[in-house]
Amino acid sequence: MVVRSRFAQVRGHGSARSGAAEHWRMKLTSYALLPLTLFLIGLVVALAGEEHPTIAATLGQPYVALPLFFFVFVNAVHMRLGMSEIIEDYVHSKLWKTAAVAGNIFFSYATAAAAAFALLKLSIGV
Amino acid sequence: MAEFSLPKNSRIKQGRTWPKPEGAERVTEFRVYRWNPDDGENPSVDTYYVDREHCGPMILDGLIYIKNTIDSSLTFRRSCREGICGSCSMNINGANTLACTMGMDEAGGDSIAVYPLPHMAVIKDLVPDLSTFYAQHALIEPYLKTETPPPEREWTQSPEDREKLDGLYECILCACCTTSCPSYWWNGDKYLGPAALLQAYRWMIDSRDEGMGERLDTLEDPFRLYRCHTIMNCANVCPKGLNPAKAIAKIKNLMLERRM
Amino acid sequence: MADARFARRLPERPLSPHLQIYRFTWTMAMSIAHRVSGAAAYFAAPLLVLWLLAAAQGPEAYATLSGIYGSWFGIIVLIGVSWAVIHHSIGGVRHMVWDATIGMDRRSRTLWAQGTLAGSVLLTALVWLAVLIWS
Repeated sequence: MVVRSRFAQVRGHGSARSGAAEHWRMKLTSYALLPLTLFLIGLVVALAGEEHPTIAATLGQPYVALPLFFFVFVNAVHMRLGMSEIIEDYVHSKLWKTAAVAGNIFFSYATAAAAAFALLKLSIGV
Repeated sequence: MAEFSLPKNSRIKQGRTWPKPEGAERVTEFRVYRWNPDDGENPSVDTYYVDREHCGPMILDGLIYIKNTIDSSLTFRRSCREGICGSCSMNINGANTLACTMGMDEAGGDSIAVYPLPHMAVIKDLVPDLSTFYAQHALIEPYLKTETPPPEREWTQSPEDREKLDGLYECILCACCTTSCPSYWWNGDKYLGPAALLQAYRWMIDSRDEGMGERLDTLEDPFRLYRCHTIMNCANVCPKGLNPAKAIAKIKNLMLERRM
Repeated sequence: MADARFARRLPERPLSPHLQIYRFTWTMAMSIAHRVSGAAAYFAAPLLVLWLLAAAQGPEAYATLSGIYGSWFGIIVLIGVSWAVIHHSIGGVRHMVWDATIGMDRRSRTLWAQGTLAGSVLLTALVWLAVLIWS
């Protein structure tokens, strides 16, 4: 049985001396995502109901593809940071935490990579 | 996983209803959380009726009335009965506050629900174990830290610098804010909570203090500081009208300031 | 600590009720909504990726996907996703304002929380009205 003073428990492993960078990145990505999300919503509304040739041609335009590229990558970072907040809040078991953190990184960047691939194909047209 | 439901030994059972005081014309119903460490039973909620003609206007008056005239085993902390000692903090009708500064009429309705501060280990009835809360306060070193040799008389401070402490120094450590915070509920072992962080900020911006850098170092941690998600329950409940959420936001801004 | 309790033959202390008894406030509700909408948008990200992939694949793939997205079930999911994204975006603005320590007093913080919900519902309705008119 482990008996520790409350002060020892509260001190724990000490300060990790990190967190400010994540906080800053979170802020930065949310600032960037605001106009990009507006652009994305506008694009989807404008393209709703259109046929494939129009869609493919529009998505291949540089002034559409570039903001979308930017959105996809900023969004991936934002997704990873946001989900890790949730994991840190609720997942306490070491095993599950490791799995969740790994899964989160994979999911965030895999979706981004797939979207980037599609955008590249639409822009360069292979 | 963080546990959102209560553990088995903490689930609340049906409690007992105590008889109404005889001849009382105006009564207010009190539903009070009870737990006795000596009988091995689960907690329960007992119902009492307070005779308003023979009782003061505050919730604390009602609890004292119950203890004096109905059930002397009811246990709660109280001292100053004027909102400065911070002893009688509890959860009243779903929000944390001081029983002594909250009127029965103010609480609204004919029935008042009284629970201990949320998500705390209960010592007895309405008395929670606050030792972790105090240890967290100790961690932020709530005292002047200086390297300069002490002056002959006192450390001086300009009126403008003193004004910066308004809205911070008034904290009475009642723990209403800290125990209202869902982040503290799920990570109270590592997250310092709004009360400790408000005090940390109070010492950081004290013009006489020389330890800002060390203080920031102590707090820069994903759990100690950054579990705050600006839920604002702390500011909503503070019986002294302080705003811990704002103080925490300012600490986060100080963290950013020193790296740019 | 625990063994001291055993020595005195006392039972483990119960945990006082929290979510079970806590009265919701606007700021608390919108904080939870921000988290839920963020998580919803997170898991909806593949919907955007699939749309881009289908467009890149060719007309047949795109027609199949439009069929699914345009079905009544697809529309309901898309309305939900758009609401989550818009709610999370407005919630983001609220957090930016609060990070700058503006609008944190009792009245303003509740107004901001209420405005987040009202704004997100209104904007989502406007977006879908635009879709209806456009297509």
